[in-house]
Amino acid sequence: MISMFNLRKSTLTQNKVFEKILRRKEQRRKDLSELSFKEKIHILVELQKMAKGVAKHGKAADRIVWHI
Amino acid sequence: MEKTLKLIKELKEKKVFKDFSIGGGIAALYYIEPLLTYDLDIFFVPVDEGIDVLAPIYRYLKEKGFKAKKEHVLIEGVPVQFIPVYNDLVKEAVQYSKEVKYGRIKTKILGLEYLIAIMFQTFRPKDRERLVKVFEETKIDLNLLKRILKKHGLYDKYVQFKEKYFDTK
Repeated sequence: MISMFNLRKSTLTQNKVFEKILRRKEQRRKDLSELSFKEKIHILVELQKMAKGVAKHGKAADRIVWHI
Repeated sequence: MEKTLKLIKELKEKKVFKDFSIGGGIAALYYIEPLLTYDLDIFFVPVDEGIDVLAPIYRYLKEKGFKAKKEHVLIEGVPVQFIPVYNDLVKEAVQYSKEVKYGRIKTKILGLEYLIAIMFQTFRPKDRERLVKVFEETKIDLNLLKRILKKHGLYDKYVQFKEKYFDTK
């Protein structure tokens, strides 16, 4: 049986892990936002290719992947 | 992309329009993490306030071999949408846009605070999504932003948005 102490400890640890993940995600977004304009455009084209790959029908499938 | 931006710059140099600035998703992408978008939105100030302000642009581009298709022109592999400055806020945003470099090409992009104000004005779901990212990831000149928002009657919307998404004013 899990004691209240252990349950609380486990929850606290989980929260800490979760907070750490969130902090890392936030940092990752900030790092990406600081890339050069040109690097971001290259990433954009990769995103367009990926989106095109999953969109089989409708408007999304008609979208143009940039040829730069 | 460099060729595209060079040709857009040429439109100003040849006085096809008075001024221009990159707006929309690409302007947002300039300030925040890369996001999915498909058009390069160009806000422009027409030479004449006529009925068909797009005609001179399409004519010039057609001569260069680029044709309009639906709402955009495919210029060197990039779908470009030309949008005339449609109100005072957008007109002011183009006037105060900043010069940036893409590779060797100098171009113009909406200033962050004006871009935010325009997003508050249009306020579509994708604008709200981008606004959250902008407030999380960028350094905003809040004094300038508040001044612009108050001038264009958008300040209350900003306050409501901040309360809803950030628990603060």
